[in-house]
Amino acid sequence: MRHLQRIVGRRDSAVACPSCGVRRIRLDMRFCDQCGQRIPESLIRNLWRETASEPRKDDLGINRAPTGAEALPSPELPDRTDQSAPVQGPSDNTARSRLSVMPLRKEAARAGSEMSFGIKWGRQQVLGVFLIIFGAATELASAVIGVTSLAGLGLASFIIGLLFVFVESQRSFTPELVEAAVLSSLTNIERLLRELGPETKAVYLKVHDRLDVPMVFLPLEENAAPPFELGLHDEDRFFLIDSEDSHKTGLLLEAPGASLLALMEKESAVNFIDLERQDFLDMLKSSMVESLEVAADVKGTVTQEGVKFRIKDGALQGLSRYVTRSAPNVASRLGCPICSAAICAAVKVFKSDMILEEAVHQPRYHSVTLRFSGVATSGAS
Amino acid sequence: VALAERDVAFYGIAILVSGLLLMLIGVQQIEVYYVVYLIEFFVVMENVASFGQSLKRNLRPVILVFLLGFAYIVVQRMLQILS
Repeated sequence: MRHLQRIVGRRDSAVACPSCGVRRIRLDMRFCDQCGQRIPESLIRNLWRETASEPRKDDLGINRAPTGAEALPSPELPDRTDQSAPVQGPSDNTARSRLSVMPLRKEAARAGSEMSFGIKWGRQQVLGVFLIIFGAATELASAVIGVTSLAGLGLASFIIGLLFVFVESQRSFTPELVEAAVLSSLTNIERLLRELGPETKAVYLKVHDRLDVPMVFLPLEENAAPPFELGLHDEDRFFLIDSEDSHKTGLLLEAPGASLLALMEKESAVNFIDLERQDFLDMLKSSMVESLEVAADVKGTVTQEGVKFRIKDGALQGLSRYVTRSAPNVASRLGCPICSAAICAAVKVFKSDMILEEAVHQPRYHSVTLRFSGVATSGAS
Repeated sequence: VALAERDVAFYGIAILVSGLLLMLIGVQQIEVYYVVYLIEFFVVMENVASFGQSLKRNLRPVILVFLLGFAYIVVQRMLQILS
């Protein structure tokens, strides 16, 4: 008997974390993916308003403060029906929203002051301020004494101090560490794919809003119907879709490269959803090669049927090699994280569902072939 | 991005060394020191530029300070020549 449990989940969305500035946060967890800091309720509520979606009953259940029993980890899958907790009356909601206005403004103002010039005050910044003061004092002393050459060194100290203040200190990670951190998660998806055994092509779903996280639908059964006929856009709440309708049977996953794309967008200060089609390849190359250096080169072509691109490995070449070796199903059917990030970018730019026809991973190159949903393959037509 | 810190350290050493060299040569004008540091800064910035927009955004105030100082030197020189 094959029974697929219906899990009602909410699609992740994004909001800027006030602590670290990372753009993606799991709405059901309310904590930043990157720094683990709790996101203020008011910011989350603001996000709800922006995405014009009201929290459902089960979301309200998640929002409420956990009781002692709920705080304990449960070994079972969460039963969302239990979480549909007391829904507040309209009067309560109004009162709450009215109360939330002031804290939201305060937080926005505080975020503004903390994020100005992106300075986070630490030991390095204190040292910088010391060097600035020292440099200024040396300049002053040289002017008083009349030794100009001393002023040169004072100026050097002043400039180094400025750089210490404005260049944020960040830890460096070796590619091996990134690989080790990511691989187990991908291996789990690999096991899931192997267990369910779908031999179908993944469909990267259209992104409707700049806050949406790119999702990929992997049908469990061969399905001739193009995804737009399946109405998947309305079904973005489902992780595993009910088997009652075979057309809608499949896995709805967050794209493996969604986080990488978010980082690319953050670093290049461009949201791919705002780009024109003709700018796609240039921007993809700029983001992957220059901003993040995850690829050494990106070449591609855009046709009526779809998009093809070829990515030359960069800093994360070990990761794609590991993924290809340890999670071949993930690599070939969903794409490795690097390919997937590029596919997500394509989906955002072209604003259309895209079927991953082929993802080939060679020792130094990745080749990806995407087809626009609803366009027949050249062989089939 | 960690390489950016290395670049800052490299730049710090470079301007200290060049400052000492200029001192040894006996350069007395502060403008010369300033312009040498500025040139070195932009050379290092070219390296840092590939580390992403967020770092470049952080460095904008430093660049602004540098350019204001440079503009001040240029204006002062022009006034000197005109007078």
